[in-house]
Amino acid sequence: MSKRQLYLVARQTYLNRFKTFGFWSVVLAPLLVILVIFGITWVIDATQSHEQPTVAVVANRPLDNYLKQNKTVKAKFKNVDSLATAKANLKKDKIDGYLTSKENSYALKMSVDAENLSETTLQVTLDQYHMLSQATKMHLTPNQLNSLVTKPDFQTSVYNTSGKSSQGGQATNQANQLLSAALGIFIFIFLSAYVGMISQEIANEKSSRIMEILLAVTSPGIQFFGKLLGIAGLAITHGLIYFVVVGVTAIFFGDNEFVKTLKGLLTGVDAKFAIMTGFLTLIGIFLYMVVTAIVSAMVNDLSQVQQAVAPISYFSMIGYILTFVLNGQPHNAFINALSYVPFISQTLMPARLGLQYANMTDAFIALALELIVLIFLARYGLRVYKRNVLTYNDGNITKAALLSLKGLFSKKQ
Amino acid sequence: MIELKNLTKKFGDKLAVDDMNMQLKPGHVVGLIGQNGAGKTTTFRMMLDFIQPTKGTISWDGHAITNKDKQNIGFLPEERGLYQKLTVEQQVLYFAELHGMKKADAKQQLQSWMKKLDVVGKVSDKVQSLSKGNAQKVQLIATVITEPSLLILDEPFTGLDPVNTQLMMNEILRLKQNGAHIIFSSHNMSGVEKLSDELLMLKHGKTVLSGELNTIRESFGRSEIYLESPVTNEQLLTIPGILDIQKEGAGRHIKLADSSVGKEVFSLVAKDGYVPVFSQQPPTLDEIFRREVTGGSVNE
Repeated sequence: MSKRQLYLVARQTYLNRFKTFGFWSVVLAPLLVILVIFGITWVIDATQSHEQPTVAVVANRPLDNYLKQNKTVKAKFKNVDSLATAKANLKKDKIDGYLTSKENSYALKMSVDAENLSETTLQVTLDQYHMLSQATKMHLTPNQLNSLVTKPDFQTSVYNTSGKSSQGGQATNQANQLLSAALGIFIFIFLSAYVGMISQEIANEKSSRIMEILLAVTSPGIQFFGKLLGIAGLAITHGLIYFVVVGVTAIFFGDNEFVKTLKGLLTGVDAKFAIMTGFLTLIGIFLYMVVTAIVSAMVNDLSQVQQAVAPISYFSMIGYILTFVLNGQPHNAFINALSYVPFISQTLMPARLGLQYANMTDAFIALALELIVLIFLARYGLRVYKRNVLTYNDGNITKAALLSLKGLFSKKQ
Repeated sequence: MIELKNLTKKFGDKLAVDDMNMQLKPGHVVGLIGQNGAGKTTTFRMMLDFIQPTKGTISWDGHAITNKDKQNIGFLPEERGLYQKLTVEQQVLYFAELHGMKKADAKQQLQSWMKKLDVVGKVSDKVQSLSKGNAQKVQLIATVITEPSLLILDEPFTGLDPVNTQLMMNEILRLKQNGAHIIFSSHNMSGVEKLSDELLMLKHGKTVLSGELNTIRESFGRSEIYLESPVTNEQLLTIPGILDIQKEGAGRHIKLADSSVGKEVFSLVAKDGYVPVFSQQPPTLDEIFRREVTGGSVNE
């Protein structure tokens, strides 16, 4: 195999696709999604009204004073003597709502067009006020009250199969779930995009008969691996672009509130996890690319590409869908077993890893299995590619696929 | 020299090429003719290593064709293919580099080829913006810019207008003069006659004719006469051995049962001592082709 020709085919494939809208839309789509979310959050924040509602506290001056001093609830409070006055004021739009109180109950009535008031914060503040009132009635000392209201310390952590503990709790779990779901979505999108690229590349050359000119001067091996290398180069470039974007964002926009929120979501992600996920994804994409290259060589024209590639896309959805049902099922033997299976592991294993249902050893096993299948597919896939790339059947791809398997593993090829 | 020895290709039970033998010498042009499905493209595919022969060998100067040799092959497939979204330059340079040509050299050569073939457009134009004729010229440039030692042309004149056909013929003759081995298939018999030094005709995979063009034609005898004379058809038909008389241009085309009948025809038309045109020839390649294909003999 001529290295020079291999390089030329890879370069040609890489440059052809690098300049296309398709490649850049795949690269920029996730970044645009993040930017759009950031933009919408910013616009909502910038345009929301900062006016506070006015709430009348009916015939309870101590409560009115407490609320005014406490300042936790973002509202203006004023005391009124009676419910009738409060209702009259509300009718005249002098107030946005009123708060009534009895022995053990409080009621808030707000006008329908009043500025928003956090009911949760008001509830907490009223709880505190109620507690203080009761403590005063019981003649408790400040220390006794303090001791009574101090919450016990409660921490959660996850003991994973590697024997190491890590910070856990609901917040981390939610972050991990979010991360695994996002990974599933993005990996699926990337896979679909690269599967599309390699199939278009091969089917276009075959259907336009350019392949005959190329194979007259090169060999099927050079075309097969050259194209795979070119598209793989694109996938690597794609990853590098994200790496640079993340680096630049972290260095120059680290103090931004939105970036801080994102960082918070990724607290549980360590370098090992990121690297392993990167490898599993990349090898997974390569695997799908090899299969797609083999299948694409069987089509007669571009109109058959979708038909040929559809089963591959459907198959890639298995791992993607399973990431959604994975949460809360750390011991599901079926899902666990599937997370090692090449073609599925690229989405499922990172998700299990993110949720800490699997450890690095599991991920290494999945990666090794991916590599073994990749080598096997590359070797025998080339034979299938050779058989089909210049064969034009009567449109039956299934027939072509079955014929390709005949004698595939015989030594004489 | 390129040599095809006992070349046979079977697809299942179907015999596509049967025991073909051919030599392709430097500076020689071989025309491969035959009906559709006769085995021409299959022969090219075996020469290009697209498919393996069932039996027989193909050698170049005594050794099997290697990947390095393939870089010296220029191939023009029957169904033309170019990357529609690439520019003329990107396209030609890519093919040239795959053939081992330096990019800078190819870039320089491309400019002179564009002028030589009178391609309307710039090297920076995308192929999809070119007319069919100009795209065909670009395809020809991509095939010959590397000055290949072996040129394989599958139906090179298909779809070409007379101007492009002539350009293609000129290029084939130029490469021939430079010592290239050239083999081409065509249904354009006049083109085959003009270009070929040798001819190989296939019928259902079998070689039915092979050798130098003139030798093949002469082997069928001078059984055709083109005549311009006031002598009537009735007078001509009195001569035994005249099979058919057809009007052709300003004169008539006469088919003879045997070349010796020509003497009697000449005696008749020249009895007054003058005949404007009398030309006794072997059958044309077109005639030989039609007769061979339909299973009859030219002399029938």
